[in-house]
Amino acid sequence: MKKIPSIAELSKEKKILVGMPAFNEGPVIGNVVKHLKKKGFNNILVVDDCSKDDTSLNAKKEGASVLRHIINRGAGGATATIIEYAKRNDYDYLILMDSDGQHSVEDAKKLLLTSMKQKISLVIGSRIKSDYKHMPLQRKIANHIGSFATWFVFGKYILDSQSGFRVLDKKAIQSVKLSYDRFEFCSEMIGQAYEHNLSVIEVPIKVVYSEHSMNKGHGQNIANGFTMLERFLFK
Amino acid sequence: MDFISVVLGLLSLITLIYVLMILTSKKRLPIFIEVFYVFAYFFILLVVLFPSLLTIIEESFGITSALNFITYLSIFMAYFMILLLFKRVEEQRAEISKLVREIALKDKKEK
Repeated sequence: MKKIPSIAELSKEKKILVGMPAFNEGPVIGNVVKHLKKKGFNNILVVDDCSKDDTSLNAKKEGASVLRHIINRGAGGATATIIEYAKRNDYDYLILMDSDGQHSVEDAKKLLLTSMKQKISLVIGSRIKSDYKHMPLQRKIANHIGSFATWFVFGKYILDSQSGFRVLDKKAIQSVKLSYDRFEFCSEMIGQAYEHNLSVIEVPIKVVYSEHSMNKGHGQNIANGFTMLERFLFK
Repeated sequence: MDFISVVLGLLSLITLIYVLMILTSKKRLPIFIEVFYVFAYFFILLVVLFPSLLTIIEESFGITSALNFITYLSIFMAYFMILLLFKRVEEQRAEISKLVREIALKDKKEK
């Protein structure tokens, strides 16, 4: 049986970056970075989107590199900064994940291996393919609106188009140029991937809906879904 | 001259003076906007002072009601200008994001 390489082994051959946009994730970011380090991810970038708490400090304490926005730009804006950093520093793979602990580090490895083995440019972690029953209703609705908007504007139906858990290979890193600052970036990235003829697949992931992640106030909701649809239609 | 005409006339005059002040100041607006507002408020002032002007317009252009035409045209122009404003705001949002990104990346590089 072929041995699954460790992250440390993969990192010797390829330059891998884990990028996390963060806004007021001070209570949890330290743990997330710590778990990533334990699994062998050494290049971790946190983009602090002008948090009002100790997000930057706690991320740095655990060994992450931190970039800080002087004005809040939104998840899309922070993600665009991560991609720009990966582009300028010539990374081979970029793993985008949430900084609130919702995404599992094991799944990060799973998405990365999928991209590497199957040579897929954009791998999207799909909550719908695995954990749909436990997804909060608000997120389900926002997701469906987002997926409809993605299909309507870009002609491609992705089940979990609003998942921020993704792996981009070098081709995708160099091709994607996000212009939306808020959650529209999720759909925009998919649209650009298809525009550039990049391969895209969805892989099931599990999500942990903690008290912190559900009570933080910002994040995908129904209003965002409609705003996204409106922005795509009238851009 | 009735009360509404007087109020409209005064408001147009004040706005016209304000626009002319902007024209002569250092902080200018795009020329298209300045010209549009000068003409628009000057026209309103003229109509208030010379109500028969509307009748002349109706007869010259064969319009049943010049006032209705001007009202609809004004609404159309207002919506169009709002659209231009939205576009401009969106462009500035993108520019601000780009600036914030460059500052964050530059700060990292210098450290």
